Amino acid sequence: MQALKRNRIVTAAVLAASMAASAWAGGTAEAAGAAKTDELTLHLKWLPQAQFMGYYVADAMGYYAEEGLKVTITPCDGTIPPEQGVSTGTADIGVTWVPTLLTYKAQGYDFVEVAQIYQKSGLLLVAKKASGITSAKDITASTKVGNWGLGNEYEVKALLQKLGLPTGYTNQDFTMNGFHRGDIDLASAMTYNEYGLVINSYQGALGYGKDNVTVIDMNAEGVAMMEDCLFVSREWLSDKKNEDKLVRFLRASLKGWKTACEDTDKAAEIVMKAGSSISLEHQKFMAAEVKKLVSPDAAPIGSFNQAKLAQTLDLTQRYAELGDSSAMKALKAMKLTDLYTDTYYQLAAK
Amino acid sequence: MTGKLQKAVKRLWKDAEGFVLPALFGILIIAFWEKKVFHALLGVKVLQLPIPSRITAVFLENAHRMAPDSLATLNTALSGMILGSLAGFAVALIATMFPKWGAGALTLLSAMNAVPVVALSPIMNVWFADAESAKTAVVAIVCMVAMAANAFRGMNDTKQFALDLMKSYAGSKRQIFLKLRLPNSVPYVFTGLRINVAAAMIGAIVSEYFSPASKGLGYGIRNRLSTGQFPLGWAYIIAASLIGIALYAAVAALERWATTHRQV
Repeated sequence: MQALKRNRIVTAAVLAASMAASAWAGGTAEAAGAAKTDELTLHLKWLPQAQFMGYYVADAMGYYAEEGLKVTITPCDGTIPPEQGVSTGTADIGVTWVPTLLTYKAQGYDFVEVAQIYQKSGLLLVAKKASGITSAKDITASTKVGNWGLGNEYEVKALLQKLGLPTGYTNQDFTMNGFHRGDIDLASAMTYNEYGLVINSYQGALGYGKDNVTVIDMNAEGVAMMEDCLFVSREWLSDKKNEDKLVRFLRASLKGWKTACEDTDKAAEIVMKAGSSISLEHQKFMAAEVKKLVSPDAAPIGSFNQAKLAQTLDLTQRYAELGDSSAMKALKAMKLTDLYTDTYYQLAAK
Repeated sequence: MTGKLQKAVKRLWKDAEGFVLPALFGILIIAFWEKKVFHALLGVKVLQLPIPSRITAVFLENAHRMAPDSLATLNTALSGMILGSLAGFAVALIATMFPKWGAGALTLLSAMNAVPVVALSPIMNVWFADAESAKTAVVAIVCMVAMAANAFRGMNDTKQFALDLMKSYAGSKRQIFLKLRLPNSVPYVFTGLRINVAAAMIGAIVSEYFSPASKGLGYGIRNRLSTGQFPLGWAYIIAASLIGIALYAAVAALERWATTHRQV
């Protein structure tokens, strides 16, 4: 009994001491934060790689620090998508593809796009030349077309529909093994990632060479959809402080993208240091390809191309399959103005 | 008269008690869920945890979409379970026939049970070019272990006096097996089967997560949850539970039939 009591007293004392200590620590951290930096979390759509080089460069070059920001970049490991991170509040800003954003919005998530980083679709369909497929015209109902699904399949479905073919596809994993083995005749490949793994001969790549592969480009086929964009939730944005943070974040990020596109090799090295698990050669290839998607023409980085976004909305409305009929109705009724706001981009680009 | 009625009511209640209380508890949980009590407690939004009425509506709307997925999963789970259970039984048989190294082989097999399904599934995808075979193989491997261990115990956990009796009758190995070991193993085999129902459903659904074939309840759950379609994701989860419960009930019924009709 006596021992128990003593134990209790000791526990209480330890608890009190630790509480006091944490209160003190919390207090000083707060004071320092108010004077210096605001914290932000950016949730990526995928693993750390040159696809997101603009943010990594902005961080490494101190652009975020210049804006008084401390940005935590959270890669996606495939379990929690950026939309769910932003929705639950574990992230403030997310990177995702526009069609996915649209389907989330249709289900009642109050997201709004704030910058369109990629200006072109990076999706290709690739076939071995030996398969006899030399262009989209050679695709038949028996061609095994691969895609990752999960909202990445709309462009492929749109192309198949355009060709008058059934829109079914084979589930493709995140390697090109299925393509290599021949389980998939026509595989989905991003210009900056899987395509590089098919044609190049660095470690981990298949080394087919450009000349032995047929490429079907979604931009050329007229079924392109807009990909990597930045989004936040309107609820988060309703706080004036967050509006200000967002503008600063956009300004630094756009600067990061500009720097990254000016020297893609250096950007690849920065991404590599940030923890990419894929080889430096592949990161360099990716960075050079990503540049072609981020600034394909004179249009400023991050700007909204109305016509391309309208096509993205149209194709999503046509090909997205949402089981919930009320969400489907909301998607069909959606307008371009519901998707994005350029207010913050304009302020940041000034 | 009233005494009789009271007795009848009492007996009826006694029969129903085991069912009514859990059912009431279930209804209470669903009511709390529907009225967003859990949302308040856990601090989640309705978008993250859809309410039962919405899930039910979406379930009914998508029954036609979920039916082929359910059949695909049922097919994988059942064929894998039958194959695996047969193989497991065969292993137990061999281990009983050659007890010296049989027990060691069984231990080795049990170690395979430690390989998680999430690791097994991608490996099988590489081994088998055909997606269907890969999924069935995962389920079969998972089911083989539980059946082998249980059947082996059933064949060898015989009463000492029964074994002595058989020996005193100069029963041959074959006779001992057919008349003692095999009947003795029946309840153990059913224990293995009951374990395997759950394991087969888990194995099938998890391997659908990794499978190149875009069908099955596992694919459906993964696809809907990762695109934020939580009501439909939950509808798929409910379909998977219903199938699991139905399979379990079928095995339990088979067990009741087999254990009442056997003559020992």
